[in-house]
Amino acid sequence: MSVGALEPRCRGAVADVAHALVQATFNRALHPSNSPFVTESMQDVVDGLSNAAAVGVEMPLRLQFDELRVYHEGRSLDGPSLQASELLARCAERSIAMLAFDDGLTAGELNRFFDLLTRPENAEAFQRSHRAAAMCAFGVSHVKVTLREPADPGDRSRALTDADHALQRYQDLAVALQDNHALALGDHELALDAAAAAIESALGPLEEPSLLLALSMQDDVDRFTIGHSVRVALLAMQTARGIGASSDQLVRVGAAALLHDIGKSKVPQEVLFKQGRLTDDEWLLMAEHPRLGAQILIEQRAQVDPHIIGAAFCHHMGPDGGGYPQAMMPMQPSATSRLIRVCDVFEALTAVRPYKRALTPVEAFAVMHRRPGDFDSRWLNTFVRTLGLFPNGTRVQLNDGSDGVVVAQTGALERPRVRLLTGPDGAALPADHPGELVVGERFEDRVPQVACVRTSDRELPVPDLEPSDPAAPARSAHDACLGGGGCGQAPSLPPA
Amino acid sequence: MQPHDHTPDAATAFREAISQWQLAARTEVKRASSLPSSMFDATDAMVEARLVETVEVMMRLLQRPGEPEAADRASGEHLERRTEQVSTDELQALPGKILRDVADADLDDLVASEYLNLLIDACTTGDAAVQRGARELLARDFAVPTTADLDEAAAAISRSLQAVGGGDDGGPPLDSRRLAELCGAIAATVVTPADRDGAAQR
Repeated sequence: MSVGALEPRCRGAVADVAHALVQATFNRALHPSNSPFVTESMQDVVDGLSNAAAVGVEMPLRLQFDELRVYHEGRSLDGPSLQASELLARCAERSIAMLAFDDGLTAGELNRFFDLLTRPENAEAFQRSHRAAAMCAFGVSHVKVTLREPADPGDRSRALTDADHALQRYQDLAVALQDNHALALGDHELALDAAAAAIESALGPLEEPSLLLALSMQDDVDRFTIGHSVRVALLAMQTARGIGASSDQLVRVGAAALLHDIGKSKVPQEVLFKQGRLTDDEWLLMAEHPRLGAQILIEQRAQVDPHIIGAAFCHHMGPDGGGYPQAMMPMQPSATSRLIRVCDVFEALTAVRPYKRALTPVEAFAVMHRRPGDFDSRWLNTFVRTLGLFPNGTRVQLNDGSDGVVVAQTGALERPRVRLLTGPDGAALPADHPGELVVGERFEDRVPQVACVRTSDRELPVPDLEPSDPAAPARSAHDACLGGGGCGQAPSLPPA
Repeated sequence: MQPHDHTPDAATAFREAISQWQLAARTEVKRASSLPSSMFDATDAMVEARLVETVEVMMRLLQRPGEPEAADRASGEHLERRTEQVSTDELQALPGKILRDVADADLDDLVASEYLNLLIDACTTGDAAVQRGARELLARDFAVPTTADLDEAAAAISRSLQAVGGGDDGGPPLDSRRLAELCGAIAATVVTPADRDGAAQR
C-alpha cells in the first residue's frame, strides 16, 4: 500500500504499534524482563500488529528510525516520536535503520528481541558478523533488522529545523520526567536539576513553548502518564507566558507542572493502568497520589521549590480547597497550583485514554465551564484566552469545505489564523493562493468560518459561535507564542 | 531434545546464547546422522529421509514453534469508550462565558500558606523519613523550633500560620481554641521525642 493510499485507520493502527513499542521500551528500562508490565506491553505490540494486519497495513510492518523520529513508509510518526528517546537511543547505539515486524510475532519472541535491543552486553549483537546467529540463538524470526548504511539519514549530520529542535526539547522533557519517576519508584534521590534544566531549555528563543505545544496537540500523540505531564507543563508555561511571567517564574511553573504526578510512581501499576472501573480500595490508593507526591518531594528537602510540592499535592483541589486529598489544616491552593489544575484537567479531557475518546479543545472548554467552582475562574479565562477556542495545531474544515490547520491566534477567541491544506470542497489550492486566512475576516468573496473540527476518529460540527469579548489578556497569548514575531507570523508547524 | 531447550534467559549475553545454540544444533545434527554407515549409501532413500528430518529439526530450532497465546489476557474490548457529550447550545454560548477577568501575574499568591500547610500535613501523615524532611524544612523556612518544648513549638507554628494565612486569602478561618489544639497536635509531631525529653529535663 503506497503512502498516499494509507487510510486514516491504517495510519492509526501503525501509530498504535509504534506507541506500544515505545511503551515496551520504557517498561523494559524500568522493570525486570519478566515483569507483568513488560509482558503486557510486549503483548500490546503484538496485538497492535495483528490489528494493523487486519485493517490492511502491509506486513511486515517496517518502522524506520533516525536520531529524532520514528517513520513508517517515510512518513514521520510524530506522536510516537515524542517519547521515543529510549527506543531511538537503543536503535542508534546498534546502528539500526529499520525494524520489520511480521505477523505471527509473539510477546515472548518480542521480549527476547528486546534482550538483544536493550541489554548493554548485547550492544554488538546486531553487527553484521553476529546478527543472524544472535537472532537464531534468541529465537527471533519475526523481527528483521536493517542496519544503517553510511548514506542513511540517521547517520548524516543535517541542519535541524525549528520543528526538530522542538521535538528534541519535548523528548528531553519526557526523559527528565521518566528518569524522575524511575528514581521515585526506587526510593532514590530525584534528579530535580535535570528536570529544571529540561524546562529551561524548552524556554529558549527557538524552542518557545507554542511550537512544543503545537507538537503535543496532534491527535496521534502518546497517551501515557509521562506524556500527560509534559503536556501539562507546556500548557502551564504557555499560559504563564501569556500573562508576562518572568523566566524564573516560568521555570518554576514548568517544573511544578512537569512533576505534579510524581506521586503516581508510588501507586501500584496494576491500579494506575487498570483499564476498567476502579474498586473503592483501588480508588483510595489512587487518590493518595497527590499526598505521596508531595511527600516524595519533601523528602528531597533543600532541593525542592515550594511551588513544586504544592502542585503535587493540590492539583486535584478546587480553588476553595475542596476535592482531594484533604490536608490536616483547611487550606487553599496557591496560584501556581490553581493554574496547573486547569491545565491538568484540560489535558485529561483532550487526551485519548483506553476508556474514553478525546474531546476537542473547544468541547473541553465547554465542559470545564459547566461547574465554575471547580476552577479558579481567572486562570480558566486566561487559559482559554491563551490557547484560543481553536488552539494552534487544530485541524479544521471551513464553511466552504476547505481543510486547514490553525497556525496562530489573533486575539479574538473564535477567529484563528488558518493555513489551508486544500481549497474549497477539498480541491487543490491554486498556485497563487496565499495559503493562509483569518477566520471571520473577509477573504476573496466570502467570510470563512470554522464548520467542523477534525481529530483522527471524529468530526465535530461547530455551530455559529456567539462573538467573544475581544479583550485580550494583559499580554496577548499569540504575542507570547510568536516570541515577538507578531500576530501575522505563523510559527513553524511539525510536518503534517 | 526439544527445540526450545536452549532458549537464553534474560541474563544471557548474546555471545553465550549463540554458543549454546550452535552446540544444540550440532548435537541435533550428530544425533540425526548417527546411522549405520550403510545408510549413507547415496542410493539409500533413508539417508535423504533422515537428512530431511534433520533439516526440519534445525528449521524448528531456527524458527521456534509458536508459543501458546496469552488467552486470558484482558483485551479491553469489553470496555466502553466514553465520550462526554457537549451540546450545540453549550458550544454556541461558550465565547460569551470567557470573561475579561484574567489571572494576576502573581504566581506566588498563597504559596507560603500552601507550603506551610503541606509541611504540617507531612509531619502528621508521612513516614519517619518524610517527617524528618518536613521538620527540617519547617525549621529552616518557618523558624519552627524542632528542639524545643511542645508549647514553644506550638506557639511558633501558630505564629507562622497566622503570618502566612491570616489575611483574607488564607483559607477558612479557625477559631483560636481550635487553632491552639491543632498547633499543639502538630507540635507533638514536629518536636522529636529525644528533643522533647531533653527540653523536659532542662
